[in-house]
Amino acid sequence: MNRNSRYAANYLFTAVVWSAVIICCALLCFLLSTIIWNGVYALSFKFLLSPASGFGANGGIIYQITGSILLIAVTAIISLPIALGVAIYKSEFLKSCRLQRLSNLLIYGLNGVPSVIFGIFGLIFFVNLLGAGISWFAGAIILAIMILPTIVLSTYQAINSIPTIYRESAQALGLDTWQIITRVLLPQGLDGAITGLLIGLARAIGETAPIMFVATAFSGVDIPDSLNGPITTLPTHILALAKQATDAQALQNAWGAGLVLLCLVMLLGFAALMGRIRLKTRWQ
Amino acid sequence: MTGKPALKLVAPVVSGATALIEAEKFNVWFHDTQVLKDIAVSFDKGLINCIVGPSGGGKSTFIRSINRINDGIDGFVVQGELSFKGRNIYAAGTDVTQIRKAIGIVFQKPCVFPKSISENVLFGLQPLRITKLEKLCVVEKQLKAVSLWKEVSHRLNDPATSLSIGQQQRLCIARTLAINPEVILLDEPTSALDPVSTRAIEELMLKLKDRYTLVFVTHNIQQAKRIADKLIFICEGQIIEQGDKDKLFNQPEHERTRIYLHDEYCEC
Repeated sequence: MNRNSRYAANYLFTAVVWSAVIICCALLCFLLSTIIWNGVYALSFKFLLSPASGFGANGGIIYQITGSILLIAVTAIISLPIALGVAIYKSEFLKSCRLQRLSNLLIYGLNGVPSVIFGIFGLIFFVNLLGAGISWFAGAIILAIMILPTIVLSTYQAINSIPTIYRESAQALGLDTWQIITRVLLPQGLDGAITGLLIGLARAIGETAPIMFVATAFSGVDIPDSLNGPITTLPTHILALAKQATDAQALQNAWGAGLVLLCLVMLLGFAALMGRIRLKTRWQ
Repeated sequence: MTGKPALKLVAPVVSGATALIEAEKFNVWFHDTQVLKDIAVSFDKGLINCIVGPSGGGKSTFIRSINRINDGIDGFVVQGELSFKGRNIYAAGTDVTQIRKAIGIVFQKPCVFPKSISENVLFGLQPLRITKLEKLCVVEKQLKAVSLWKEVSHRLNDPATSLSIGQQQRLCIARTLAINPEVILLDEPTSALDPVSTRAIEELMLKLKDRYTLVFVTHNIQQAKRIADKLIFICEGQIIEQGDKDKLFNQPEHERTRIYLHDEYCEC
């Protein structure tokens, strides 16, 4: 390949890469601007702080916001300790290469399961088998199972990235395995766990399929007063409003709810980014 | 913390031992590769025991075996006797954490935890079992012992990573001293340091040798000449010669010892 050909190939490759970047950015900007442009007109204190009425076409989204936040808060409480335990076991106690490969297969496999399958599983297991009925708590468990691989992998990577010398230095000072886990590994792995948790929650808060058969109702629901009973969330509310797209008010409310959901997801994504930066700088 | 090693053990107690640490026919394998062969040596209190030899000769493996840091390495197998105060370090039922507290180790590269200077000194202690005043006393005492107090006393809460590499290594030694060991193993602790920091560590070793049994690994012959009392020359996993430093430098029994100590080159 002569000099001119190398230059041509270089320019071509640069152009392809830049085009990919521009297309991605343009799509993202188009998506965000459309949601913001259409959703901003619906936003008001009244819309954010009042309950829905008329099957969601009128009123606000206060119960949908609190429902979504409650659901992901309980999801976080269920999933974080389990994920920490799995990640620590995988990193510190699972020594067999064959079992490591098997655990990776299971975790990545679980991560790849379509979300609607979790919904069907919840319907069969909680509603049909256990007879729990529609329960928002069962929905939180389903979401926790769904985001478990994300948190496990993030925590495992954070723990595994701790240089061996730190473990050996702690061992050399007479710390036992439990003390090494609590005083060296967990403080460093927690950032990764929280990053994974927030990414997982950002996914969970936008999901409709895993919870719509198990935990949610489309209208006439407020804040649940027990572990049983339905809940209403932003994604299911948007779905309900989208079905009434011929009603201009319902459509505007759907855009407004979409914008609020987007803000919540971006907030979680931003927190995850900050956690990752902190993790990176800590070990430098 | 990787895999429980398969340990082959011989008699747990070395009878009539007078040295603090004593090895007799001590062998180490990593999987099928034998890295230490019939090591027989003793380390007495009040001496700087210096292990020298070419890289890859088994010096680090040996001292890491003494406080059982190698236990976590997959395929690590020992055979023979390695005793501390007459008791076999590898005997079944030995409390490994107690062994590690009694036999501290300082590694080649200083490794401070991402915590403050004072927290690093206290890292090996049980933080809930001592008062704030006691903690401060320990920090001051150990930092003074490693001649670091004057340099850091005004910034004990600063991150330990803000110290220079030489200061970090002295902090690691202070952290080891805080757990009150009887033996301190030093695995080439000055190899990553500049001459000034190296000198500071050497002076520290000379200061500490009355209170601790020191086992110092180095491949710097001049350093061994400066600080060693007893010299052990290890090559290809075997002790070629050991004894008084002056004897080994001036009247070595083995040709390989003479070549290594005088030409700093060994064709083992």
